[in-house]
Amino acid sequence: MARWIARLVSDRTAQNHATVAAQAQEHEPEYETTQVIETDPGAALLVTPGPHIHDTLTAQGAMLSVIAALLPATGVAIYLFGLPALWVVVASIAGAMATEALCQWARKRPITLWDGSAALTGLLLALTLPPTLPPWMAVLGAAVAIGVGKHAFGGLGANPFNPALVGRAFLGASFAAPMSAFALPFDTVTGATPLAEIAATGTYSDLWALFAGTTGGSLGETSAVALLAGGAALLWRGVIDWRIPAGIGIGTAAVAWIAGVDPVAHLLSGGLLLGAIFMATDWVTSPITRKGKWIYALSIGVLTMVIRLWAAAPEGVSFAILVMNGATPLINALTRPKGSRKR
Amino acid sequence: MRLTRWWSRKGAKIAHAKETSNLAFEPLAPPALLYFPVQQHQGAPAVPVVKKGDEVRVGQLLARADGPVSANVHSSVSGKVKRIEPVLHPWGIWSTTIVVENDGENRMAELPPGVKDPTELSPEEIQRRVEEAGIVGMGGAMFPAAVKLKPKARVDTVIVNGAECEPVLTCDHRTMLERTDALLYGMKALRHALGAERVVLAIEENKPDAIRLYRELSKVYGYFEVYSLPARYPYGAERVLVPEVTGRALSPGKYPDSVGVVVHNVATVAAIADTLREGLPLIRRPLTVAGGAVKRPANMVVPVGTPIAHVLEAVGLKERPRELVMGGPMMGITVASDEVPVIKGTSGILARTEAELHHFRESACLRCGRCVDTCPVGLMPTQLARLSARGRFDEADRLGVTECIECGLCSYRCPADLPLTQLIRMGKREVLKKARVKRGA
Repeated sequence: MARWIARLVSDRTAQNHATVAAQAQEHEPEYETTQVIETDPGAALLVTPGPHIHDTLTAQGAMLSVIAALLPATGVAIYLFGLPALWVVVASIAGAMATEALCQWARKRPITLWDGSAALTGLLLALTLPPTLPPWMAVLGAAVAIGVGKHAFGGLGANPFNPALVGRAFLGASFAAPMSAFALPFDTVTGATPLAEIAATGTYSDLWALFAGTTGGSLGETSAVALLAGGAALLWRGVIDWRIPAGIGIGTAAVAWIAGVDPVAHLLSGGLLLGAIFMATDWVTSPITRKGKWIYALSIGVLTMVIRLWAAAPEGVSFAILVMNGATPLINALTRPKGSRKR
Repeated sequence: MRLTRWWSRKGAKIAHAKETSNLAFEPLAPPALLYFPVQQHQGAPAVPVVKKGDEVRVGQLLARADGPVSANVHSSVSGKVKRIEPVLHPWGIWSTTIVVENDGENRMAELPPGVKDPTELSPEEIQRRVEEAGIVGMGGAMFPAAVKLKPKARVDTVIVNGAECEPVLTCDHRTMLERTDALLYGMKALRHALGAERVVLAIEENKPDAIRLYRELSKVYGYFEVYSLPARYPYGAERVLVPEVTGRALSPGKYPDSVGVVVHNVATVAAIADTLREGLPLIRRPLTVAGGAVKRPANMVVPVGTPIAHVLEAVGLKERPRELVMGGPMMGITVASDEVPVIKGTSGILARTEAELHHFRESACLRCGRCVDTCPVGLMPTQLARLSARGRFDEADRLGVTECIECGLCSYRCPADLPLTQLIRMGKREVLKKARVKRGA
């Protein structure tokens, strides 16, 4: 009898166990089959509901994959812009992680620096900044990104806006001049970014330079090839949904084509690839339905081009993404898959 | 065509882990004591027709079906009824069980005469014989097969389900390869019994040998066709299978017969053939034995009622398993003891080690949408799980919680490691319970 009860003990079914044990007492069955698995109360069989297996992708794995996928682009940036770029990256990541730890400590939550999410936010923010930015501004931006962009809304998974873009928007509004001074590669002289030339002429004279990245711009805007390589790796790992970069590309190219400007130059320039592959695909702030992802992505593409072509700002990716982040709950509600429409 | 198929694909690719697919079935000799629960099907428990001390023979009726949705239970050995009492059932309930002491003589009961060709029998006779034989859906759902032979609406298509989308399990695959004659006979019988125009054998692409074999056979016999399913989980689930094969959408809460389709698992079809051809009731169960703790993984034909300890003894254990799963790793259930018997729906026995287990370490939902993307019936698992966890069952009901087929994919795919399926299952049970109470009142 005792062996029956012992083997029913499971850390997950304590309550069940009580009932079954009571029933067992009542019936007092005698069992005579040969037991293969002897009963040892310390190692009873586990009774758990299925599924009993799990995919290998974890949240932490996904965050680290995104960081790894950003390394080529980061490397290219440091190669092109030298030490100042490295300081911006280091300052931003350090600022993000320190703020994360501080906020979690203040909110009396477990400190989860090792999940990689704060480091990722810091790195993403750094890649949207100009390489000549004083590092303390990067720290401040990262603190706003994590503090206001993330923890003010309840921490991981609860923020409506992409934290890195919140940080960038804050810096852009607070320090307009250093935020728009873009160094040319291998040089400390600042100059016009390709976007300025595209805005003036509708295309860019050296598309190959745009693709390889030897142009002026913020850290992560420059090398298309490094960003695309990272994106391909994330798609292959199943971390990001292909619909979002595809939709943004289609939206952007369509508006460019209609407006009579060069779609390729617009796709390869500015923060578009960084935004489409790494920012807009952020799990937390993008829609969860398939149809919603299309609406969200196409809208980002269209909005980006509208800002680039007709608004005062030269670049519109980050604002387009922030606006659509805000629309995400609505998109989710309007694009429920068939089985889950309200009845 | 390829493109539309890719566009409308459902579910997800998961590791198949079908290492036993080349292992032929081996018969397992019955042990000294066998346990026959009266509940080996969906519906009302059967009522024992033997009493303690009775002599029974192989194939003899032990318990009779009670009502329209129920199934007969037969003895798989000859011997003596030792006891009739509640015994722990694989489902974790205490079910009235007929314990039979095997005398090893294998004396056969008088079985109804078999027929060479199923078309010699009338559809009603086929239905009656299948009902008599206590055949249930052997894919795991254990729905009485005879009920599906008297459909309420006209059925024009029979789908024979050889998808076997569960990882690890290979017994359906082996059934298709080794029991070709039984499957051909069974498909002919089903076509005749239902007056169906099409019989479609649906096999996942990861079993090319079976697809090739039956494509050839269908050219020769012509009364069935082969449909190659994407090798994705859960293409073997009715609600995914029926629209995929027939293009007919299933409305919420409706069964396949509402669109003129009936689905039977390949093992069920083989059991129907055994009944009509040899008069044998459902007393043997093909299954896969695997898992990290098993020395020699195998496909076996096990007498129904055999305690799984006996099956594990036959394959040997390397170490003490931490968990025993009946069925596959996605939808199988864990059992509390190795003494529970193999029942008609047991498609696999997995003896798993601690290293193979997955312990959920819930973190915050990251709204990645992988569960929504993957849900084969178009639900939003993250939302349903949250509502269920908070006890907001009415809201979950409005968002379709009862449509969940409990395939487990959302939990499987969740990077935040949330037990989504488990929570949704609980919510679904609560909603159904409430509906039952309401109907009763």
